[in-house]
Amino acid sequence: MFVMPLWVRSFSRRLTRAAAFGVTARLFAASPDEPDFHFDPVDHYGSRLLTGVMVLGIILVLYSLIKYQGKTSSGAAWGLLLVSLVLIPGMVFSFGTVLVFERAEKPELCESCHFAMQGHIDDMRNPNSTSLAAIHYRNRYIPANQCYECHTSYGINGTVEAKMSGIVDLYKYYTRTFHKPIKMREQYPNGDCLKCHAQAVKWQAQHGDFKESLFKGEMHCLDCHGANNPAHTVTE
Amino acid sequence: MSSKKGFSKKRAGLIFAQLLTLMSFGLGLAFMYRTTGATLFLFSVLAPGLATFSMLLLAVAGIVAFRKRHSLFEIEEFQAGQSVFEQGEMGQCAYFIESGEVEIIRTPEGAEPVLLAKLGQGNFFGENALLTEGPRNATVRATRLTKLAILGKENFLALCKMVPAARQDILKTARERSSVRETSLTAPITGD
Repeated sequence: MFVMPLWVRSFSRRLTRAAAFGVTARLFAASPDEPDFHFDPVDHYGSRLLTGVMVLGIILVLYSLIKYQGKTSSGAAWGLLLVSLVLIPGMVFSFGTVLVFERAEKPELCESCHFAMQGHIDDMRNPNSTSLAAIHYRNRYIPANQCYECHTSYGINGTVEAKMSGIVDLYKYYTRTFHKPIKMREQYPNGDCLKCHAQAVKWQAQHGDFKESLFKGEMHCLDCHGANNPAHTVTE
Repeated sequence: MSSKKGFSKKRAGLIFAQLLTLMSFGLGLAFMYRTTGATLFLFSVLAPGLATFSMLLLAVAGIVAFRKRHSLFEIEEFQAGQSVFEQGEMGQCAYFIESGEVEIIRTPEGAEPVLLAKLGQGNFFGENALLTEGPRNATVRATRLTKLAILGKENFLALCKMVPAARQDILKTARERSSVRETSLTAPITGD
């Protein structure tokens, strides 16, 4: 009969305890810099719950591996397999998808590719910068997810395009095949400005004479606005 | 005598499925701990793929077990030294030897394995666990290339119910084997 080596059982017990302790410590770690009106209970409690469920899943899988070692000698063995391989992963990846979509929009995610994007993020947050990104950020014209809101086109199609473009960016970043200075693959589309500005009364008053040209793409927003205020001022 | 132990494909598949699930949970924890482009991609693309594949492996194992339980004389081949079943497992089928030979080995608690019998062509085994609803009371291993016709538990019990003469024969054999188990004087197997 196959017997799991003692060192494997001992190691897996220690690993499980360490994972549970480390994760539990972070589960209840507070975020003191977060103002109350930025508190997202779904992310806050959901991520902690999800982490707990994953730790539980790991414990159940390890228990099943050690106790049954792949045998299905009883209904309990099948039940444990069903819970640990189907139910718990199903819960994890269905709610996990929600968290993935939420976190994919945050500037912190863009910032994590720091070799490529740190300069852009620093410029955005620079209170003295005159770039369009800094102006929008400083005045909170966009309250949150600033990178995503400006660089994603309208609707689900815009989201899909952003995700696919993000995969290419990810590949280039981790294979270090990107080139500096970082440039957009296509000209910044007017629609990404107009989706917020076009229906504003102030914008209508100031752009009424040539708004049709802007809508049709015959003129570009950055032709005028990019001259004095570049989208980003990256000094690296 | 070969001491090679069988490690069925089903069991290997289930262990592999559990390892894949562990990996997917690990990727999830990495995403929770530090959300970067890489961890996000791995958690949203690779981890669900691993988990889905392990679910498929579990489904296949379930289908294999179900088919075995309901099998009607499906032929399965066992190499020399390969286990047909291990002592302590739950029984899902009876076996009829079409060709080859198997050895029946019982390991009493805290004692050395004891060779109870060798069965050849025309014999059957595995009936006791089906009749008593208990676990297998011995390990059965092929001594050479062996072909076994497998009768699933449901069909075996139906046969016993519908053909009283067959049931009598099977019960008689089971009683004789029970007697052999209790009074066996065969020397313990010392292994190769």
